[in-house]
Amino acid sequence: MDELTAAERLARDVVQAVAADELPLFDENVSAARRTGVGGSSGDDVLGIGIEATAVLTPMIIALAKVAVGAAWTMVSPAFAKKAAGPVARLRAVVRKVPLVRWLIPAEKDPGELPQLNPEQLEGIRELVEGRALALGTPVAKAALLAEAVTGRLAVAQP
Amino acid sequence: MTTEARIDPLQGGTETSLRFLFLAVTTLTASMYAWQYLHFRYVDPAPVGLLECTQQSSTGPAPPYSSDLAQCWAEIIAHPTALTLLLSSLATIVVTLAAVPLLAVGYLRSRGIRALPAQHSAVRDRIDELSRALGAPEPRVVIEPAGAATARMLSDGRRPPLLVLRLGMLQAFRSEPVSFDAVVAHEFGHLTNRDVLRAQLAIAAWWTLTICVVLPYAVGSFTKWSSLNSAPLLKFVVLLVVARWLRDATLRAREYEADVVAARSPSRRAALQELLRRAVTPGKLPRRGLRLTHPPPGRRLEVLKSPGTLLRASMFDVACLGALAYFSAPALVFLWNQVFYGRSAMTHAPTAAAATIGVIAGAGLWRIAWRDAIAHRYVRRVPWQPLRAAAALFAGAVVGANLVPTIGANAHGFTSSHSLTEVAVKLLPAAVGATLSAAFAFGLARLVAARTRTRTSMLVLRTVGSAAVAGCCAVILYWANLSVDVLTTAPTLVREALIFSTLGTLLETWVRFVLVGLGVVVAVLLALRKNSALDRLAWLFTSGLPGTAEPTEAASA
Repeated sequence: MDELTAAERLARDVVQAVAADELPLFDENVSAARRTGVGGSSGDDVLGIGIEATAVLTPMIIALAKVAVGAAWTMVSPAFAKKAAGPVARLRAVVRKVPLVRWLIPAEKDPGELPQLNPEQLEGIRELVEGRALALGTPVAKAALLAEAVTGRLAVAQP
Repeated sequence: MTTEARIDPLQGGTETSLRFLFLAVTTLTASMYAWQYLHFRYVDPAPVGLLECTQQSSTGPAPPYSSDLAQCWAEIIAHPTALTLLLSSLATIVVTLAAVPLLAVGYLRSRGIRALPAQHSAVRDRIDELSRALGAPEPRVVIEPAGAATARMLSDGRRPPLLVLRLGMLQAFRSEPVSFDAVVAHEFGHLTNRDVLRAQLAIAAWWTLTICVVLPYAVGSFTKWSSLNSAPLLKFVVLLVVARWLRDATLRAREYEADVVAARSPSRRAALQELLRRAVTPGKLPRRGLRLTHPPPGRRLEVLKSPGTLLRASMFDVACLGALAYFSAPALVFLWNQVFYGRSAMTHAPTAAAATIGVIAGAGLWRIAWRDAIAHRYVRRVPWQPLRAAAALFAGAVVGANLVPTIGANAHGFTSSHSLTEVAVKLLPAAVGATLSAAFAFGLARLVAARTRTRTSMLVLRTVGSAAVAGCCAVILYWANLSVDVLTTAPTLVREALIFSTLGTLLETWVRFVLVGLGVVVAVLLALRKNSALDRLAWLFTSGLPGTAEPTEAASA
């Protein structure tokens, strides 16, 4: 696998902290996230069981870490924000929603390092991450825990 | 052969994946229609020869359409545009068939589905143990790079289907092995209930409706060159939506059956119930909808706790499958009619391919019924009953030809101007469809009777069910008003006497009533006869449902 991006490194740290038993499958989850985006392929689950055998946190953490890093760079770098909201990024996002061609277009990579954030910005990111976790169907308590963990690792990683 | 090679559809399959096939046919057919529309609209707006050949004749009472097939084809061949369209349609079919394995490869690769890595041999061993315990065939296990701890069955066109594990299942294998077992056993439930094929057939029926009915009518509504422009589009759009609901309802109902298989072992039952309980979010209403492919977890939990409620779910399944068969048969007849009649044959060439595949789907349904009947020892002796079979087929043909007024109208013109052989060819799919519909109704009655388990109630229910079917047949026959045409195809003189004279008109009316009455009597007799041909066909819709002796795990082991 290619080198981990900043968001993926952040996610690995969070997984190690809150779900260490999932670490052996972390690399495969990263590959899956790169291929299919947030939460992996949901696709059509005809003849699937429709429920989960266990609550796996890694995909959620990877998704939240990407949200956190994206938001951080958007806060500190107008150029990054402009690029993220630009037509190319939007087109890429639309095309990657199509399953048959998704694998042809790799996901956008982050700048590879974490920006420097002040406490207000960290608090903003925490709220954003918690909101995203709730939107993805995470229970309230767990969403708060994950948001805290992601923001905490983000704060610790500050230079 | 390595495991990797085994999941490669390019290695050649023993069974065509209907789903991929219908997807491809639909896409290419839609392209063809769009191209034809643009061509006739802007490039060659007056294909005179074609229109003369395909439109209804305005002179003379009968036949309503041009009956000279050779002339139609001569017109088509003489007209460059028509010839081009015909050849390109045929090429479309060839390309479609060739593209099927490539589409399967594309599907698997786009989702990153690959064989289970060797390092997870413990997972593979556990799955093999479960398959032996449940009496299921050894599956081909693959991994899908997605995080959720779920699994599903997937057909790549070969048997047995693929058991797709998502990455989270590997985590569940280590952290919650009993839950892992419950999920895999649920998937084996789909396998032993032949749900993969059932789902494919349900999907295929829906695609058939899309291609054979809605698409041609949609195109016909916007183009002047099509002979279908008088059809109300809305009716067929509604039909398509309803068919989609039926498809999804069928899929939902199969989940209950798979849960029952998974819950045969007490430990797995407890694990499955716990998983369903977890999935029920407190304070949040469960997602409900006609387009869900899975029932709400709370409802599944209820069914697991009280198996009696499974009957309702099973009956719903039966009803949906029957309705799909009911809707699909006229679509096929319509298409075949178009092709055999020489009317717009060239514009329907890709659709003809879809219809042919639909016939294959029908054959698959029959095969399921036969194998289920053998497996459940329902058919102990299969005597050759030509007369009864012929009667059932004839009754089916009469009903089938009247299922939809459009089909009936086409049958009118067809039977007036074509030989008995041609009529038989056209009516055969109708007969199959109608017989399936009748079998579905009998299946319902049989299901209820099997649950009540008393001789009197069985007799009453069977009689009521039969009467209901017979009544439906009578109503359909009466309104469609076509039974005479089917009967009088061969003796032309009788037909002309009936149609073109006053006395004949009066006589025709009475003959219709007499025939309807006879049809009712035959239907009731067939229904009341235990182990009748229709009763056996009911297995198509009721196999694996309550009241049948299912193999136990111990026996399988």
